[in-house]
Parts: sequence; C-alpha cells; structure tokens
Amino acid sequence: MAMVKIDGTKVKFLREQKGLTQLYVATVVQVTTDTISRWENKRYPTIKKENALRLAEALEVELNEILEEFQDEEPAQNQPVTEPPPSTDKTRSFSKIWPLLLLSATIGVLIAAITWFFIMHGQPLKISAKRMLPERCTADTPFPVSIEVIGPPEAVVAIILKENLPEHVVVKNTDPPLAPSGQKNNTLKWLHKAEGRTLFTYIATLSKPLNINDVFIGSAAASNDSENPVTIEGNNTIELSLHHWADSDGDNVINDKEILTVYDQYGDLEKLGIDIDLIEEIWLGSGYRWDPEKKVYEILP
Amino acid sequence: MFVKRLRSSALKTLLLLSLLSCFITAITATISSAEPATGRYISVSGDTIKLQLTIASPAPQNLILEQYVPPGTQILSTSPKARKINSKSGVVKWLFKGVSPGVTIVTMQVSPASATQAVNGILRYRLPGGGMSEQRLAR
Repeated sequence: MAMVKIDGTKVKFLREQKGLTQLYVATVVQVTTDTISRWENKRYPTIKKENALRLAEALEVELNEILEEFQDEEPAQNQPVTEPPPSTDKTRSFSKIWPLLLLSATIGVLIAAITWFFIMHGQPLKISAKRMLPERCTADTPFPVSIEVIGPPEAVVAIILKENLPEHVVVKNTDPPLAPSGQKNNTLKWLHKAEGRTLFTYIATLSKPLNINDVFIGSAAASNDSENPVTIEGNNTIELSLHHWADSDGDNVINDKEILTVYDQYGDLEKLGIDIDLIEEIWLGSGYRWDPEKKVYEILP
Repeated sequence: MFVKRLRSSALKTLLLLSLLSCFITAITATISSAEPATGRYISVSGDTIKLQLTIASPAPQNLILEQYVPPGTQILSTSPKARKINSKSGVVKWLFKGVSPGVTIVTMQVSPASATQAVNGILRYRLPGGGMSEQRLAR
C-alpha cells in the first residue's frame, strides 16, 4: 500500500482558508475528526495515499499541494508506518477491557465459592469419636467412661451413638441421660443433638475381670449419614486392680496431672455420682491404699 | 507502554501480597506463641505477695498454682483460698476449676515477712493433646 508524507501545517492552512470544518473534511476523507487533527498537528504525517487523495479533494487542491516539499511517493515496505499502529490500538483496547476482565474473574471466583459452599453443605458431615476409659479400676467401685464426639464446628448435627459393653460391666448413670429405650441388654444408645465437641459420659462398675476378647465397642454416626458410622477410637478395655481409677500410672498417688485429667477429660463427674472429694483428698494427701475388708480407699496423710 | 504498565502493576500487586502474607504470618506467630496461661508476681510488699494469672483464649479448663516459701513459713491468709497449705514443707496449692479467659489476682500473707523474698511458684495445666505445661511464675 502506497504511503505519502503530508504537510499538516499546509493542510490546516488550506482548510481554514476555505472555511471548512474538521468534521466536513473528516466526512469526505472517511476518517475521524481526531485523525484530521493529528494530521494537521503533524503527529502522523505519513498517511495512506488514497486518504491523501481524498484529503486533497476535500481541500479542493492537487495532491502535490498538501505533500511535504521534496516528498516522493514511497512504497509502504520502505517507509515506517507512523499512523497509530495496530498494536497501540490493541494496547488501548486492553487497557479499556481489563477492568471488565477483573470483574469477570471476581464474579467467577464468587460463583466458585458459592458452589463449593453448597457442595460442602450437601455432603455428609464428618465426625470422629474417641473413648476415654481408665486403664484400671477396683471391683464394684464406680468409674467413668467418656466418649468425645467431634462434629463440624458451628453446625448442629444429630448424633447416633452406640456403645456395646463387655460382660460384667453395669451402667449406673449417664450424661446425657438415655431415653427409656436407650439401654437394651449391654448396649447403650443415644440420639443427641450436638455442636462441635460433645461428651457422652457414663458411670459403670466392673465385678469380674474382662475376657481378652470382651471389650468396649462402639460407633457414632451423624443422622444424615447413619449408614456410615465411625468406630469409637481410644482405650477399649479395663483391668481390675486395687488402684483408684484416677491413678492412671498405678503408683498409689494421684498427682497434679492425674487430677487435672479427671477434671479436663471426664467433665462434671460429681453430678453422676463419682466421689470427687475423695479424689481431691487423695491428691492433697501423700497417697492411698485400698482396704479390701472395708472396701474403701484409705488416704495416707 | 502497556507492558511497562502491566509490569508495574504486577510488581505492586506482588509487593502488596508479600506485605499481606508477612502481616498474616506475624499475627499467626504472635497468636500461636501466646501461652494459654501465664503468671507473674506483681508486688511483694511487707508480708504480702501478690501475683497475677493471665488466662488466654482458648483457656485451659483447669489449672494448678503451686507456690513455694521457705519451709516453716506460716501462711497467714490466702486469696482465693488455697486448696492445700503445708507450712512444714512450705508448699501452698490452688486448684482453679472451670477457668475462663481473663486475669486473676492471687494474694498470700506470710510470716515472717522476710519469706516473701524467697517465694517462687509454678503454674500447671493440661495441653489439648494431653501433655502437661509447667511454667515458672515470672517476676
């Protein structure tokens, strides 16, 4: 495509001399008034020959009159094109559309987040359960068993908890209380609404040593996923000994760690019938021993 | 020009993101380094020892405070009431149950008053994983 170099000053002079407006000239040449303005201000003096011819026609002069002096027509491949290059237009287009792109991306992220939220809430709620059972207890003296169920935080979920007890274990009390049909043979069953961490505690006694395969087995399930219960982890057996159940290391002393474990791990045991005062007295004393005749713990001063 | 502008914007964004991540890391480190419970002596005046327990959130459920004075020191009064006072061995124990976040002031009046200069103490509580935390009271 042939290009020519026009003299913008001459173009402006001729246009004004003939009383023509930029709009008129632009209409004849079929460009914008901005382009005419740029040509006149010599911003883009090299233009297409066909545009130069129309410009000359609009100004009612010969083409030579608006060309720069000593200007020959040059083929485009030898002449740098100084009209706004396509890349500049693209740059301007990009700068115009990037807020749109940003907005689209933001909307996309929001849609993805909302979709994820609904997908997650439609899925079964994950729970876990752990049994806290003392390692030893004295025959026919009450000991606590706590099952800690962890559900999703800030979501109330109905928990179905089942606990099968070994033979010779007798349940005395539970918290939460069991429904009338909640205990059948040696199975406890709770249906309880829970949020985050919930403790299910029962007080039991053991009259005879457990057989090796006779252990505590239980499961917990969220009501919306009751077909997929989780097994209750943690200790599943207890042995008979002459040690208090709170004396976890069996050294006939209840130390600071053991008293804190009683309070931290098993919740409010006093209301379930566990003699907390006795445990504190043992902790404050120098030790204890089991009196088999009186069937009581004697506190050593 | 567009590339330059783009580079400049990218650099600014990168810088902002770096600053934000540094800020979040610093906050997380501060929070995670905060002990659930701490204790320090705030005054020893005459025969009275005053200390402050600061419980953070989440708080330990229960904690034990143990103070040691020279054996034979007489404990005239404690507030809150100590769970165990053994003047012979010089051990005074408190058991705080159902602890809430906040500040608790503990005072102890002893005789002779000079015993206040030799007092020291330990704070014990269970960690969520089951371990024990044992901290000396700061002065």
